[in-house]
Amino acid sequence: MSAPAPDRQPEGRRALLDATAALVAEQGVRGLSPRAVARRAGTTAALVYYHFGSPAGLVSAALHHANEQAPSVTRLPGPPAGRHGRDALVDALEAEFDDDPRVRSLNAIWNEVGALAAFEPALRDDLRAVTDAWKATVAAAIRRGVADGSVAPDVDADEAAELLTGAVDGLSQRWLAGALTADEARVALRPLLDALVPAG
Amino acid sequence: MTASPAGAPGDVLPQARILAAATGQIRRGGVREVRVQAVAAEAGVSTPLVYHYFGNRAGLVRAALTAAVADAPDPAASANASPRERLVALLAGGVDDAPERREAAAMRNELAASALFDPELGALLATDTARREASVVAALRDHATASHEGDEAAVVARGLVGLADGLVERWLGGLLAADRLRALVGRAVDAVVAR
Repeated sequence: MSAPAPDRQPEGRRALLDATAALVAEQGVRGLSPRAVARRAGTTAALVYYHFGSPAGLVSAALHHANEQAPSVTRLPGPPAGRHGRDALVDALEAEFDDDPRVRSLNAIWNEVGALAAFEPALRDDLRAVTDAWKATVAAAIRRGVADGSVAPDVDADEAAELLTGAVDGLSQRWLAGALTADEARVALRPLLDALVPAG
Repeated sequence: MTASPAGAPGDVLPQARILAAATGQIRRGGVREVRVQAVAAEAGVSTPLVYHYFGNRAGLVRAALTAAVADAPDPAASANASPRERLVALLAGGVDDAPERREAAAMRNELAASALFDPELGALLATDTARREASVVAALRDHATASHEGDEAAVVARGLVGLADGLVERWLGGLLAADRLRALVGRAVDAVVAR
């Protein structure tokens, strides 16, 4: 694989991934094609194939993109100085429920690939990789909370992360479907946060 | 829905055969793989007849998912189960590697995932979820150590059902074993009830 110009390639690739996420949010993975993505991004299908190789490669890349850009991941590299780890965790998980079209479309990719994996084992490795990465990010945030005293010391960070990310996934599905508002989803997450990651 | 013993298509109403074929396609490949032509061929009818009965592809998918969710029995715990066991059964009791349990969970997950693109499915999802949340609220009330009141119990139930469904999707996708899922749901119930 030759390295494209470093200052242009990531931006072009990112625009294609944003276009993919927006299309999936509108109509799902069904009907997603390199040509449709190219049209949406104002470029050529050849460029889509260049970056992603195949329609399956596009779905896989979009899923990893959705994970890297997810509010609960981007907000958790480390709490700003002076803030408690637990507050940062709560803010980050609640930020997943946001009607901003970009956040919605990132959630829609997860939602689609998560459901699709039941029928397409080929997607499982990708789904497992992003789910594990997300759980690890959340678990690390819980441990920071334990370290700064904002989270109770006896919390099992890995288990709490598995449960909380599962809850965000399940509530996200309802929110995306219009069965819950973003606010209702955040409110429903609260008692779980309080129970699984009690304040220290 | 079962075919007649003779297996002759004429013994079952065409609507029922079409619906059974669509349901089978969703079970095998998910909603995304449903093709009206293939459904018609499997049901032994013409494509226009499918449109006649169900309007369009979305109408056919909607009818199949509606029937599947209505037919799915609520997971029941045994009569002498503790309140905790009943809660876990309600939330994760349907999770079992037995094929029919798996199919029922898969159909509900397909409903939830497809509802994003069809407001009518969104309404069906909301109704079905509200019914399940109400059962969890009732079970929480029976749990001696649970002290959630009124709206709080409803919010807790909503969170627990969401959590269980999120984990069920991971189980369906092969990311989580059934027994691990039940253990995790039990942990969530204990944590929420202990507060």
